[in-house]
Amino acid sequence: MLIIECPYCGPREQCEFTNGGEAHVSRPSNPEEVTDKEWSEYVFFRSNPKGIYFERWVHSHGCRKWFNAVRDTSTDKILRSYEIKNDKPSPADLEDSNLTTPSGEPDVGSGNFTVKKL
Amino acid sequence: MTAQNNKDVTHIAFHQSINFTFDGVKYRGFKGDTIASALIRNNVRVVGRSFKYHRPRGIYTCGIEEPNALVQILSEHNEPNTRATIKQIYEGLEVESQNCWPSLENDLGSINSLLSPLFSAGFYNKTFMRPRGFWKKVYEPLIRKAAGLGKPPKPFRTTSTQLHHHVDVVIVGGGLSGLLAAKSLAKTELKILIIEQDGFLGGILKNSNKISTIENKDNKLWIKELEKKLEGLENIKILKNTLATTYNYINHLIAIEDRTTGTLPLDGNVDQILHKIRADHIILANGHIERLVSFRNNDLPGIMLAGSFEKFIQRYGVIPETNPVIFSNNSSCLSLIKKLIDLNCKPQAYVDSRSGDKIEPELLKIIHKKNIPLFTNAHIEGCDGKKQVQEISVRDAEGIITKLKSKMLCVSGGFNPDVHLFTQSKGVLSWDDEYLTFKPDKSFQNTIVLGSNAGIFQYSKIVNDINTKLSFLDHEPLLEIDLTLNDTDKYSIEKLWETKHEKESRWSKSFIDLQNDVTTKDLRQGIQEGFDRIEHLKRFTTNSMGTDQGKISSINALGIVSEILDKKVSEVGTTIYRPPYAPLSFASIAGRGTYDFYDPERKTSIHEWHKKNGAIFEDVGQWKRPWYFKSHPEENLYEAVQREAVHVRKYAGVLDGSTLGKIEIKGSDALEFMNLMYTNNFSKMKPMSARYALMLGEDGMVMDDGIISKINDKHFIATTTTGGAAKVLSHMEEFAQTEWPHLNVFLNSITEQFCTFNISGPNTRLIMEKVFKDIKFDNENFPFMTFGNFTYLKSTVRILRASFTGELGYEIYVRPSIALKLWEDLFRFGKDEGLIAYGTETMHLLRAEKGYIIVGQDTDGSVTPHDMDLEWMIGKNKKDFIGKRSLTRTDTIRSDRKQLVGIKPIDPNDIIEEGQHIILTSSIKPPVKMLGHVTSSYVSPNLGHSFGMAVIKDGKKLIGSKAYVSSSSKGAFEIEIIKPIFIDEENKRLVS
Amino acid sequence: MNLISSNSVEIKELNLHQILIRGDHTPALSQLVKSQFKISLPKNNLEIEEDKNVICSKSSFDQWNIIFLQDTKIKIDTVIDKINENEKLLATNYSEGQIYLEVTGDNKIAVLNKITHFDFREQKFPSLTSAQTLIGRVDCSIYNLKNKMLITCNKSFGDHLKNQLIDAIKF
Repeated sequence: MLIIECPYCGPREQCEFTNGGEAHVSRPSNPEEVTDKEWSEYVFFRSNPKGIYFERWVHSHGCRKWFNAVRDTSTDKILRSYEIKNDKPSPADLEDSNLTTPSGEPDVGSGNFTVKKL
Repeated sequence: MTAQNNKDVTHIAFHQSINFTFDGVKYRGFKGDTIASALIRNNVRVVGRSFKYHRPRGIYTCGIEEPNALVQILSEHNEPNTRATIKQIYEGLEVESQNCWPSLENDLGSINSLLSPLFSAGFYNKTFMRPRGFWKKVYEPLIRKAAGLGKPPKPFRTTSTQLHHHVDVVIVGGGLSGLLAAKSLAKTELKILIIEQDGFLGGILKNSNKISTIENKDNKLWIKELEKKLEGLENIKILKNTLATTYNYINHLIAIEDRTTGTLPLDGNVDQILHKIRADHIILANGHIERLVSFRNNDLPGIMLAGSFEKFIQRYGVIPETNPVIFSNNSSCLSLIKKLIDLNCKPQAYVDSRSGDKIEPELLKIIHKKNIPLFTNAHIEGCDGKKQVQEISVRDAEGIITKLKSKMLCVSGGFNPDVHLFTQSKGVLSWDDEYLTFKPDKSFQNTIVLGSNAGIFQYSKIVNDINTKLSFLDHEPLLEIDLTLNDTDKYSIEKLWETKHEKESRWSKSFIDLQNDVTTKDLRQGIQEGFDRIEHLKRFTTNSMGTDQGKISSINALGIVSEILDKKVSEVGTTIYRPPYAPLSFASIAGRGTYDFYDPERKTSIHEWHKKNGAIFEDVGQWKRPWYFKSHPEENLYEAVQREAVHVRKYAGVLDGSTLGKIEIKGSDALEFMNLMYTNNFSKMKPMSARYALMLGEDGMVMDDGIISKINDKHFIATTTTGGAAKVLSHMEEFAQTEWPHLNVFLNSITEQFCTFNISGPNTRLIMEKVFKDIKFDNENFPFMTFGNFTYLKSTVRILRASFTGELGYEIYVRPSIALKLWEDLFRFGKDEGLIAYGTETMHLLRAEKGYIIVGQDTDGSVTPHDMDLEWMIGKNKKDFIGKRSLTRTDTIRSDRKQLVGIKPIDPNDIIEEGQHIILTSSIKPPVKMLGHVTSSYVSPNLGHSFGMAVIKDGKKLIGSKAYVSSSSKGAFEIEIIKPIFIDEENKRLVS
Repeated sequence: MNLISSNSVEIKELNLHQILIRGDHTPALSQLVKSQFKISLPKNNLEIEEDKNVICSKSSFDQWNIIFLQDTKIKIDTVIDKINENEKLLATNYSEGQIYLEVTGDNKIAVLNKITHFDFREQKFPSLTSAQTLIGRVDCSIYNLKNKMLITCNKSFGDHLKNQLIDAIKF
C-alpha cells in the first residue's frame, strides 16, 4: 500500500486517497468551438505510458482536496506531489529514480527479472 | 524404532505430559511439543499420504517449510493443512492425517502410485477432455472429491483482530544477527519492533548445536540476558509467535501473530492478530532454509533434512533416531554429528559427496575419532523400504553400491537464504557461485539484509557486516564477539542437485517438490515439451505451487533446469515469490470487520419511531429506510403498498426523506458555478424559489437530479439522490478545485445537519396549517416551488413547497434535535386528516404514476436529458455547462436512441415487470429484435392495472402505437406505448 | 455521557457545538473570528488554536472548525448569520449532525491503532494538531488536545464507530 503525500496533510496511507486519472488535461475553454473528435478526446481519452506519469489524486478520506503527483508507473514510485494549480515539474527537476535497465524495464524483482543477469 | 528424549532442553516441560490423539490413537507428549515432535517421540513415522500418488509420507523438516506433515485438527473445527511441525499440542487435541481413505495404513489412493506413469507432468492439461459430456457428470465430481489435501473445515467464528504499527526500524528475525542488530541499536532513540516467528528468541542459537557459547556465556544465558535488557527499553518491542508474511510497497510488513500456541482457542478470546507495520527501515534477519537432494525414493518416511533433525534434538528435546545415516554435500553436519556423540549416540555412517581433501579437518577428525563409517566422494543412489526407509544405497566414486540397513537418513543439500520477503519487496537477487544459492543483491526499498539471510555464511564476518550496514543509523558499533563453535567458521558446499538411479524404470522416482508430487523426471519432460522458461515450467509441472511454495526444493529445481538447458542458474532466473510467505487465514485479514462491523448501518433520527410503527426496512446504500409500513402483522409488501398508494392520493402521507443528500453552496460566484454544474439556467430564478434540476456528466449522460433552492444569487441549497450524495459533492468539489479555482464558491454537506420530511396529499395544507399556526400555506402566500425559513420550537425550519408524488405537498427541513417532536406533531395534528407514514416502495409507485424518473433506476449512465423527455430542463441561452457539448455528438443526436415512454398492458390483468424486453411481435422465437426494456413497473391501485416506464428505441415516435412485452411466464403480451404520465396529466394537483 | 472506561481507556460522548467555516484565510476572516469567538485563526494547516473552552482548527487551506468544548452563551445561529453576511464566506452549524467522542487514558493510542492506520506518533501528530482520516473505515476528524483526543464523525455513522471503539477496547 503506497504512502502518498498530500500537500496539505502530509504523507498518508493510500487508502485515504482516490486516483483521479491523468493530470494537466485542460477542459477546452470554448467547448462549442471544438470538433467532436477534440471534445471526445478530452472526455474519454487519456494517455497510459510506462514510466513517468502525471496524475491527479484526491484526499477523499482526509481534507478532500485535489492535487497532482508524478508517478513512475513501472515501479509505482511516487516521485513528487504538488498543488493542483501548479505547473508540471520539468523532468530535470525530478529526482532520478535510478531504476532502469537497457530495455527500459525497471531493475526490480519481477518474474524472470528477479535475478540480476551476470 | 528408537526415538529418545533429550531432557537437556528448556523449551519442553518434561514434567507436564499432554494427551492427544492422532488418527484416533491416544499418544502422550509434553508441554511445548509440536504435533511432529510428539509423534516422533512416539515413533510414529507415517503421517500422511502424498497429493497425487498417495505415497506414505513422514515428517521431513522441523519448521514452516514442511511439505509433507500436513494434518487436520479435528478439535478445532476440522482446520485442514496444519503444519504438524508448527502446531503445538494441548490436552485434548485431536489430529487426523490427510489424503487417505479408508486409513493412513491402507489407503485406496495408493493405487495412483501404480498408475503413476499416467500422471506425468502436464497431466492436468491433457486429460479429462473426452467424451465431452463426461466433464460435468463424471470427471468434475471425481476431481472435486480427490482434489486438495484435507477436508473442508466446519463453519466457525474466530476473534481475529488487527493492529497497526508505525516504527523507525523493524527487525524480522530474533536470531543471532537480529539480536546483535537490536543490541547495537538499543541505545539509539529509534523505535524498534522485533518480530520472531517462534515462541522463543534465538534462531540458530536455540535451533541448532552450532554455537555453544557467546561472549563466554552459555548461549541460553546470553539470549536470556539480552532479551531482558531489550524488554526493559521503552523504544523496543518484541513480538513472538509472529510470522512476517508479506513485504509490501512502501516499507510495509504484514505479520500474523498466533495467540493460541499450546492451547485450545477459546470463544471470545483473541486467537490471531494481524499486524500491519509501517517502518522507515526494515532489517531482514530471517535466516536461511535447508534444501534437499533428489535421489530415488527421497520421499520415504524416515528421511529428514539434517538441520531439522538437529532442531528436533536441540529445540524439542527428542532424538528421532539414535543412529542415523547422514548424507551431505556441505560442511554443516559437523554440529549434528557432535551433538549425537555428546548424547552417546553414533551415526551409522557419514556420506559426503565431496572428496576427502575437500572435507574440513574438524569433521574428519571427529569421524575418525569415533570410528564412524565414512564414505567420501559418494552419494545416496536411493532408498528402499515398505512404507518407510529400511535400506539405503550408497554409491561411491567407482559406482559401487553399498547397501546400509537403516531406518533414518538425514540429508543436507545446502542452504538457501530465505529470500521470500526480500523479493516481495522487489529486491533483486544474484547467484552466489561459492555458496551455490541466490542471495539478496539490490534493494528496491529501505531494506537491510543481515546474516545468513544476506548470504553471509561465515561466523567471523557477521559482526563486521552488521557494523557496516547499520552505521547510517548511528548504532553502537559491535565489538567482535567471542563464539565457541561446534561448526566450521565458514560453510562450504559442492554442487549436487540429484543423483542417478541405478535402474531406470517407469516407477522409480526422485522427488523435487514433495507437496505436489513433482519428480525430476517431470522437469525433464516439461522442458522436452517446450516449457523451457521457468515460469512456464512451474505451471506445467506444478513445481513449488503448493502451500510450502517449494521452500526446500525450488532452488534445486532451478539448478537441475540450468543443467538440462546448459545455462547459468542466473540465466534461468527464479519464479515470482508471492505473498503470503505462509498461509494466512481470511479471518485474520477480515479482522473485526465482519458481521455487525462489516458495513455501517446508517439510521435517521426517526428510526425508532419507524420501528415502533410497523416499518419494514430496506437498504439504500448504507442507510436503513422504511420500505413499507405494516398496518397489521399479516399485511405483506403488496398489500401495504396498494393501501399506502391509495391513501396518500386520497388523504395525506409523510415520508422520511432525511437520507437524501443536501449541499450548501455559497460564494460570490455561486450562481455561475451552479449554472455550470446543472443543465438549468438559475440566473432568472427569484430568491426563495426552487427548481427541479438535472446534473450531467461531461459525457452528457444524466448523473443525478435534485431540487435547487435559491436563497439568493450567492447562496444555494441543492438536494441529491440518497445514493448520489457523496458522488455529487465530490463531483462539485472536483470542478471547483481543479477546473474553475478562480470562482469564489464553497460547498458544505448538510445531509446530516437536517432531517427532511416529505408530506403530500390533498389534506396536507390542513395539516400544515394546524402544526405551523403562524404560516399561511395558500397559493398566494406559498406558491408551488417556493420556500421560506420559519421558527418552530425556537429552531429554524425551512419549508419548501414541492412534491415527488404529484400531489399537493411540502418538504420540511428540520434540525435533528427537534425532528422527532415535529414528526410526532405532524401525526398529532394529522391523525384526523388521515395522515399515514409511507415507505420507499409507495414513493416509487406514486412518482412513476407521474412519470418522474429516478436516477439509477430509469437511468443507467447512458441516457441524455433528451432521452428522458427532459429537454425542457436545459437552460436556453446557456453558453456552457458540464455535459453540454456532449449533447451534440453524433452518438447523442442520432435518432434511434432509447427514449423514455410509458407503457400499459392491453389486457388489464397482465403484469408488466422490470427488465422485460419490448419487442415488435408476439413471437419469441430467436432471433428477436429488442426495442428496449422496462425500467420501472408497478401495479397501481389508483389506475387499476399495472403500468411501466420503459426506454425504447425512437420511443417518442412510437407513442400511440402498440407493441409486445416478453414475459417469462406467459410468452409475450400486448402493450400500448403512451406518454410517460399516467395520473393528473395537467399537473393540477401540484398547484392546488 | 460515559461510554466506556476499561483497560486504561475512557471514552465519553459529549454534546458539543461546532461551526464549520469555508473561506480563504483573509484578514477579514481573522478579524471576524477574533471578534466573535475571541480566538485567532491558526496560521498553518492542521494546527489548533485553543482558548479557554473554544478551539479553532485549520482543517485545510479554506476550511475552519470552531468547536465549543463546553456550553456557551454565544448564540450560534446568530453568529452564523453574521458570518454569512460576507458573501465570500460559508458558515454552517454542524453541531447536530456530528457525534463527539472524548478519548483519554494511557492506552488510548494502542486501542486506536487497532482500528485505524493513522500515525499517532508525537512527531507526526503533535499536540494541538488536527487531522481528517479514517477510523474503523468511517470518515472522522481527530483533534489532539494534549491529554485527550477528540474524535468527531457524521451522526449516522456514530453507532458504528462507537461500537468499534468499544470492541477494540474489549479485544
